Amino acid sequence: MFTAKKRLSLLVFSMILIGLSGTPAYAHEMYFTKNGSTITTVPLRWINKNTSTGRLKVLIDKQYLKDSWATYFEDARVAWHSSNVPAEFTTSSTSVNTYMATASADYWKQRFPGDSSWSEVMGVTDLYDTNGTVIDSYAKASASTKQIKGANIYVKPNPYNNSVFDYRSTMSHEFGHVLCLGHSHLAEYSPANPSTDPSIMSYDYLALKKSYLPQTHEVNDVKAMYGY
Amino acid sequence: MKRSIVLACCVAVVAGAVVFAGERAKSPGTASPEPYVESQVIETPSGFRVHIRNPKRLDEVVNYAKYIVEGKIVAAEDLAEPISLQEGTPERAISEQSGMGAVQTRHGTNYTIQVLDSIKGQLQDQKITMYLTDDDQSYRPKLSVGEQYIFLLDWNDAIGRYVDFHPYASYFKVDASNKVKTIYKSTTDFSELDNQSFDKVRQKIKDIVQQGNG
Repeated sequence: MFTAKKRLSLLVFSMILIGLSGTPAYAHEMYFTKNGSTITTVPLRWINKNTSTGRLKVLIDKQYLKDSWATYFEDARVAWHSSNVPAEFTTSSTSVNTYMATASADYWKQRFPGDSSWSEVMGVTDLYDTNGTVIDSYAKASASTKQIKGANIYVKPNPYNNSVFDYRSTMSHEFGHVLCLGHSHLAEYSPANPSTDPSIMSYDYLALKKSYLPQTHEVNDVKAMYGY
Repeated sequence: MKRSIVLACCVAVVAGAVVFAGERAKSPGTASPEPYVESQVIETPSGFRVHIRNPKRLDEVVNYAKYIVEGKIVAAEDLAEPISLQEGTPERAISEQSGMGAVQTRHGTNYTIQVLDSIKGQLQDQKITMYLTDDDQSYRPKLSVGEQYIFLLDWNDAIGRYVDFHPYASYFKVDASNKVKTIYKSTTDFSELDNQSFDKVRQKIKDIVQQGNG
């Protein structure tokens, strides 16, 4: 017959097993290194906040978006703005901290020379810190002030992958990077199971084409990273 | 009875934990996906999100390529090159308005290839330069000086150099015994070329090129 003490021990043991098996872990940073089983992250943080509400503030200038990127921008913006993520995504022409542009074809061929209908870059987010340094590597992230004051998002003109979901999900995913969210699908870094822990910062989940909306995973990551 | 139920629950928890732990997402590496997937999305170290579409048949990439050569890599030079943002363009506008200026830097490598055999395009006996960015190289086969490949290439007039167009299917390695090692093996059309003689693979590609020319 099991006593209360033994039942409690079994329960604790079971919970430890669950913890070790890899239940969703939050706060995926953008840049990290792994040495053996030790992961070292660079904690980049978006510094812009609404002083009244305390929420993260993303003020977007979208005037340089064109075509379908402009058409579906609002869907991606509202997806974040109306979510439970403690952040505000609004459009503005003043005090802008995030610029978006549909780039020129020539720029795209220079920045992504191998881009083709077989291997296509849809978009990129350049984050820059309080010194104005663009963060595009672990080394730069590590050497930065870690305080991200702005972002430029460049999207491809006339992409081959041009479904409505492609446009919405690309922009929605890039907005996650603006808040310094990293990827949540990497096998070496607490991957989020796309079935039980959906995340739009996970390529495994995005490949299912189910949703471009920020998920509970994103809400929890932001809360953990920013102390909400 | 109660002890049995508690034990059964514990076993179920353990079993579930093991299954969950086994369902890890696989991150893409530098090899083609097996089994075949029509497309995949990866992100590079600098944060570029890349949609990769994978061919089912060899003729898809042979017909797409502007140039197909067998060549030997004779030099590799790492470069940091400026990208001047043209005045009046959207990228220039947002880069300047955000205080990032009118010039960006692109990091990559020029690979000098001595063409040994020109299978498509007129590049016989030439030395050509193929360019890959640092990010490109993070999900392509690692290229080294001295290696020989069949390269399927395009020309990028914006940078004035040759480029590949598929991270895996643009490359067929030729080993020291003149056998081909396919990098992309996701379908039979490609995997059956693995370990075939270079002459056989070249002829197969040439046949496709000639059919394409009508």
